[in-house]
Amino acid sequence: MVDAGHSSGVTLTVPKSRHFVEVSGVSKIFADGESSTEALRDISFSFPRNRFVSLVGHSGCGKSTLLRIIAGLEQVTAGSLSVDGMTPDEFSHDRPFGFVFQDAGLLPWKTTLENIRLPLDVMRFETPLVREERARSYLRLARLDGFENRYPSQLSGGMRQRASIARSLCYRPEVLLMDEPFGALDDFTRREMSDELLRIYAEQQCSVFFVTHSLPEAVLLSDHVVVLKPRPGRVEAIIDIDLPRPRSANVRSSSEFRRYLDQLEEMIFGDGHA
Amino acid sequence: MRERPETGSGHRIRAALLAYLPPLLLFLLVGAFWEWIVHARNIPRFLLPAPSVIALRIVTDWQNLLSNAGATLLAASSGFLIGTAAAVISGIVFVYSRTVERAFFPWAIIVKTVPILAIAPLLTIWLGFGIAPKIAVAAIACFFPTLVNVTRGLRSLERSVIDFMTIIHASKADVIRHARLYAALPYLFSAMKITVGMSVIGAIVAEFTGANQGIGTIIVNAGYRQDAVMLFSAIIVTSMATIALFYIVVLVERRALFWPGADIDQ
Ligand SMILES: Nc1ncnc2c1ncn2[C@@H]1O[C@H](COP(=O)(O)OP(=O)(O)OP(=O)(O)O)[C@@H](O)[C@H]1O
Ligand SMILES: [Mg+2]
Repeated sequence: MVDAGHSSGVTLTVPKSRHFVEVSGVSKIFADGESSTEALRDISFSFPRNRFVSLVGHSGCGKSTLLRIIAGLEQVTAGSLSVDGMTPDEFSHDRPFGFVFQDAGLLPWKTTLENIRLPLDVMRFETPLVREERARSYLRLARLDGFENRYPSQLSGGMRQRASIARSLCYRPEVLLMDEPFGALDDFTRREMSDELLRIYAEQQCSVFFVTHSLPEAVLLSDHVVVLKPRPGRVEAIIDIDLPRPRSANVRSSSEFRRYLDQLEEMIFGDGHA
Repeated sequence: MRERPETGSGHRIRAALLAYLPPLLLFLLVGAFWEWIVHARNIPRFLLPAPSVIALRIVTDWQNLLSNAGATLLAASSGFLIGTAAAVISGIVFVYSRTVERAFFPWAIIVKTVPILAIAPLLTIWLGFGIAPKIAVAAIACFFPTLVNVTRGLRSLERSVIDFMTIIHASKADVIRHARLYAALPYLFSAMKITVGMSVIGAIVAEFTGANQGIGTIIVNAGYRQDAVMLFSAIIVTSMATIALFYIVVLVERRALFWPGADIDQ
């Protein structure tokens, strides 16, 4: 029952749950009026702290819904989940989640720097000067130097996503949720962005849940890949990616990488299952 | 930024000419035709005065016209500001509380459906022959369209923006301060560009029912005397003043909508 992440030698309080993130038997039914959609059925998984977990699966299999449930933006219909032994709401009370949306979700009337600083301002974090410094350092981390005074509509799609990631990282969330953050980008930019994310994740440890349509992206970035199957969304498999870290972009050309990729592709697109 | 190269400013003047020349030409053409038909057909002055006659009247009577137009404009713009401010505040309150919105929205609709022509004499009875009833009518005329637009604007945030604000525990006040107010600005100005004209009409209507000065009183008196020249002069002065107010709103809008892509009226 001892988590590798815990280093305290004295206390022996038994944690309520073994893992940092525990999802058990979660179901979600959207009901509005007469129609109802079963989005998720009996989802269970658990992961230790600071793991990079990808969620993959066909469109409509409930990936976004699952992410929103973890973030506390949606309530479960059945089942339970805990983050560090608490409900998402309890957990996020002192430690807000990071959340990166597919469409970036930046405020059009704020500059890049103001957008990155927004969470710190809203949380009344220390002093304005500290916030400014913090925001600038994350602006640099996202390689947006020189664009701090541009408005979102003046940035490229990739830059907007980097700003959105910087905005979510600047308050150092313990759990970062990303819903197809690179979904709106072209292949070329997308690859650059996943390399960037690999670098950022190596620099700033946190638990990541990452929804993607790209299997190579999932293999490159993840420690675990949760494969979901649709209608209703269920867990098909959880694949552990045992590629050594720190990883670099050229891990893509290794044979293990290919093997994981083939395995995932077979699982999702193969004819072998209903 | 004013030190543009000569060719650049020359370019700009040419572009401005190209933009303003066609409407100006048409305007002159219509005026010339009007002048010609009045003389050619010998149309009597009390039916349709020639533009030259009207222009002469405006020039000779300018002090009278200006002071009365000034009174109307002062009332109209005060009412415009008060009505707009009331609408913005109501919109914000509505966003804070759906319950308040449900309770008050029917009242807003009542204010909208009561005909201004009917309410103006009442307000004159209550508030006297001074500026107060004019301001009230102008404010009432502005209130509802602005309220509807602003409320929609305050609610026009994208889902992901609202979700992110929830994620970072932003309070309702934070969401309004950082997001909703900006999102509502384009809607506000869109409404203001329409209501600024309505406020002038509102003030004039209030003057019809009894006032000691204003364009409305000029119109009423000229109507009794069948003085078409004066009526036309009053109409022209009023529309020029309204256009001026409209462009003041446009100017403020350019300042207020500072971020690119803000303008919803293209
Ligand atoms: N707010 C909602 N109201 C009703 N139904 C919803 C709602 N959100 C999602 N759904 C339904 O739940 C199911 C899963 O949706 P979800 O968005 O989670 O899928 P997804 O895996 O993220 O798909 P994609 O890959 O296309 O983004 C879909 O059938 C969808 O119609
Ligand atoms: Mg989705």
